[in-house]
Amino acid sequence: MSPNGGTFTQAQRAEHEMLKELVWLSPIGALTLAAAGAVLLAIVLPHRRQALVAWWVGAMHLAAAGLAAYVWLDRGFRLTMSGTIAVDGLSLVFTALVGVVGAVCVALLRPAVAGTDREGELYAMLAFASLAAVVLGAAADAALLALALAALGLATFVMTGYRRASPTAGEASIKYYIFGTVSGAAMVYGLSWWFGLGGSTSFAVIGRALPHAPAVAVIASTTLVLVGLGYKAALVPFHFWTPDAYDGAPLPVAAYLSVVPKLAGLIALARVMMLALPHNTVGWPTAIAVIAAATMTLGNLAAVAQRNVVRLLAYSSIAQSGYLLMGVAALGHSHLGLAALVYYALAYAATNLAAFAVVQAVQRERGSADLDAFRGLGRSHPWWTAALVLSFLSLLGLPPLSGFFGKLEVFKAAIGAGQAWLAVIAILNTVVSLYPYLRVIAPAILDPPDPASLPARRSAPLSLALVVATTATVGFGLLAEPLVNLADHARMLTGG
Amino acid sequence: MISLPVVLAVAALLFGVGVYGVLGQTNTIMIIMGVELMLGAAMLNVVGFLRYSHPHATSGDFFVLVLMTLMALEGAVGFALVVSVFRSRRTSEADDLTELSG
Repeated sequence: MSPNGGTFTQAQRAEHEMLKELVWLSPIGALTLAAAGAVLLAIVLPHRRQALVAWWVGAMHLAAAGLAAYVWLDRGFRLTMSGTIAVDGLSLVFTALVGVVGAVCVALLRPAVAGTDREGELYAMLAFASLAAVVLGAAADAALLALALAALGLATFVMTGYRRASPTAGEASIKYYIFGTVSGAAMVYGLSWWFGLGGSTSFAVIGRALPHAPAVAVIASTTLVLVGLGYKAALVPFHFWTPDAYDGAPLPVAAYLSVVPKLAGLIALARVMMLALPHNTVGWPTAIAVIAAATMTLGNLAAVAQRNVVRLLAYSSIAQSGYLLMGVAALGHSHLGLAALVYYALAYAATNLAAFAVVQAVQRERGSADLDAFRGLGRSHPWWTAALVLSFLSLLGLPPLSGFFGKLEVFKAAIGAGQAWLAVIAILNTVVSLYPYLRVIAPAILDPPDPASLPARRSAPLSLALVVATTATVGFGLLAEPLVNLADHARMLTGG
Repeated sequence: MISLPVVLAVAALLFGVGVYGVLGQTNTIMIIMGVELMLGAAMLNVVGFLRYSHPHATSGDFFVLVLMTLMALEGAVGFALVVSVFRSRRTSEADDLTELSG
């Protein structure tokens, strides 16, 4: 036997282990295939056949969601690829969510961009964004976090600037790009300090060193890391890009931006804080709670003044980030935090997609998303109005819709974590948010129909997406108890 | 003799110059260059820590390679966006982008 025999079999065993791990990575593999295949199809297919790219990307997104469910049920949780990718309850739920949301957004995109000259590439960028978001939600390593954050950013900057002829699209994508790369670079500089303090890029190893490191260095570097992830999740004070990007982007892209990158940022934030700063090092839960309070308050107050419903939804999504962040703030003190975050993420995704789908339907027919475009919608389009009312009341948090139970769970988590003051601020915020939401709903129901009303422009994929999102908005509310129990099993792997 | 504090100080200075470029410059190209300096500072930090504090932390090598890739990609996409906007608006000044507000 050769002297190298022992190491050879060791290497073989390591290779065998990595091959076995591919099963756990199959949802990520499906999204990789979705993106690569979409690029090829967009090049090969003739212009009038580009709808096939949409079918491909949509189907692969659903496949990724299915594979995530399979991995959870059949294989369980595991730290893969030398501990850099955490395949656990949190990342698998998020993968399934991105899969379904991505497919719904493709259905919304098709009627909006059909026949434009770069249609296929847009679906490909969406697949790349989903891939990066899923990796971001599973990253247990600083290098992978930086890579996923940048990849998600680059894909979404390009998607935002899709309508090249429009003067607002270029401006929106440049603003989004500048905020994104600057905050990303700040985060990377913070991560380089974490590497220096911890001696590894693995968050689990960093987490063993940071509680004993000089507090000044830890606070400064943690603040920089918060900048990058806070920007992704549109937290105050890194939220300025949000209304401009949503306004300049095609509406289905705005719907995607309001759900996938935001939730990816929040989930990465939860994971990074729990792994790298265990035992509430430097009091991060309090800092996060203060940011949550500022985010929801500013989002709701700014939404009051908006006359354009897209910008109103942008500020509303900032406010929702604040409520979601309550779940992260509670993580350090209470086991309720993670379950609340996961359930609220599901409810928020369904509700916000339904709201954006209605706005898209209205804008498609009336050419505008101003408040006036919604007047008298109830008489001419009862079904759209029903979806509008359900989704906006869910955003407001009215029972028995999913938004209510989401808020209930995060409030419970905040009180359980000893942050009752945050729950009080959140309740006051909910009262303030009555005005912007009702300002859209009330004229839609009460006002007489617009005499210059145009005939309805129907689109099968748009209607399907609207039905799916609205059903989920109501269904997640009716199934709140089993879903919260499920979310309670969506644990985070903290070893490594 | 160069030691770790010197490397960290140079990196911090580089980061400061980058932040000044981002906040003080109005041209989008100059802002992108500021971002590149910030990323360069992070890379210098990691290399310094690798050389002086954690010579066996191989994940640090990988981290630097990832950051180098990021720098190139962010630059490429940024310049593409600037060119695309310049074609329709004839300006690369960030302060002229005021169509969206409120």
